[in-house]
Amino acid sequence: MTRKYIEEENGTIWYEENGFRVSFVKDEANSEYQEYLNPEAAKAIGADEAKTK
Amino acid sequence: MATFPSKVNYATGDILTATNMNDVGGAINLLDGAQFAAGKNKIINGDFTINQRAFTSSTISGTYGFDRWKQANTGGTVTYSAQTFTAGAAPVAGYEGTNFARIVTTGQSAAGDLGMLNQRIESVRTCAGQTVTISFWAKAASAGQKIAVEVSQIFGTTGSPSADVNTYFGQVTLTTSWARYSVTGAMPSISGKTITTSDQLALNLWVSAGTTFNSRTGSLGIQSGTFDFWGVQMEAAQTASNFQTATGTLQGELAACQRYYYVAASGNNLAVGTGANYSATNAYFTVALPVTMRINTAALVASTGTDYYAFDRNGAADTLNSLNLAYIGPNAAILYNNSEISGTAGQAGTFRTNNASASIALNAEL
Repeated sequence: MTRKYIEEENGTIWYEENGFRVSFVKDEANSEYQEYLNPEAAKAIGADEAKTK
Repeated sequence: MATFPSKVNYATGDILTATNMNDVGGAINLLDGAQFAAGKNKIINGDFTINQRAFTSSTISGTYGFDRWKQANTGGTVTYSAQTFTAGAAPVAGYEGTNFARIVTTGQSAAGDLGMLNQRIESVRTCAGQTVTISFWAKAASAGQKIAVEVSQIFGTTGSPSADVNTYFGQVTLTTSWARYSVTGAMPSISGKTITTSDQLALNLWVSAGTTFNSRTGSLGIQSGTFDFWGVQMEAAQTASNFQTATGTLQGELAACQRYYYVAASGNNLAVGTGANYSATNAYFTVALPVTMRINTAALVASTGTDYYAFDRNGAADTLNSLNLAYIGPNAAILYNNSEISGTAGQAGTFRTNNASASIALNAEL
């Protein structure tokens, strides 16, 4: 399922999934923001654990 | 007790007296006592006591359960669940563990299939260039099944960090009873590596691995089974020392977990903080952080539902369904709602949950 991200005027980004709203600010140290920037990587989270870059 | 050595300079022919030998014995006893030292264990929540998420079970890869612990899987069904020890049945006499983690694997067959219990450890500098011993208690539903232990050095998640370095520490073969196992290996040096943001170690406890991962798991192979874990420890040492949690105290371990994930409230009628109407249709609420989190930009994870939250102000409750993160810093987060709020600018009040399913958490996991 593709996440639908909403960006607010104040710069906050959020999405809703499984009954939760996840909101975050733009910071690359934040894994949610990284997933926002690169959603394909987020889909492959199992592979992420076993990644061999 | 005198200090050891008894003499500064020994000479050929010196004889140790009974007093000298007692000093030696005392010094060794002190060393044994030093096995208990805060920070020795690099694994947080190694005894699975902390469970802020009230986790019970999940089959979703990447899902955190017990604090700091998540599972990863590809293919088949891999179920990570929280289990409770019967009082007196914990594997270590004198250490009454409360919980243990269980991983059940079924239906895997492909080369790329995998199942593991995993903890991310902040900073790739941890134990770099040192001899490391990883120990844990485990058992399986079927004797002879194995666990492969690996540590991945991950040099960052942004920019262009050096490639991951995966170090296979070894396999252990389980029985159907709790037993302690340990593997010892050399953590590679990080000399010459490029480190970016969110560098980390990943301790991977593999329970199933297709042939794609042979080099990382000692050819563990696909396994269908039930694997139980407790008392995980990673230390810079030649052998496994007595188990202790990372901080050695319950409150310390909770605080260590809250650096990465903090549940501010989960349940009905729980105080969250104070708030004020910024405008007629926008209110801000402050949530204090008990510890400074790993990053000053943790994400807000808040359940959504009709009237899940209440802002008590001006003699009445203004209920709302959802929350967003506005600002966050080392000591506090400021949340807001601009969808259900209806009030008067400047009105102040208290903020609480208003439903058993309401929950507010901040996530700074690696």
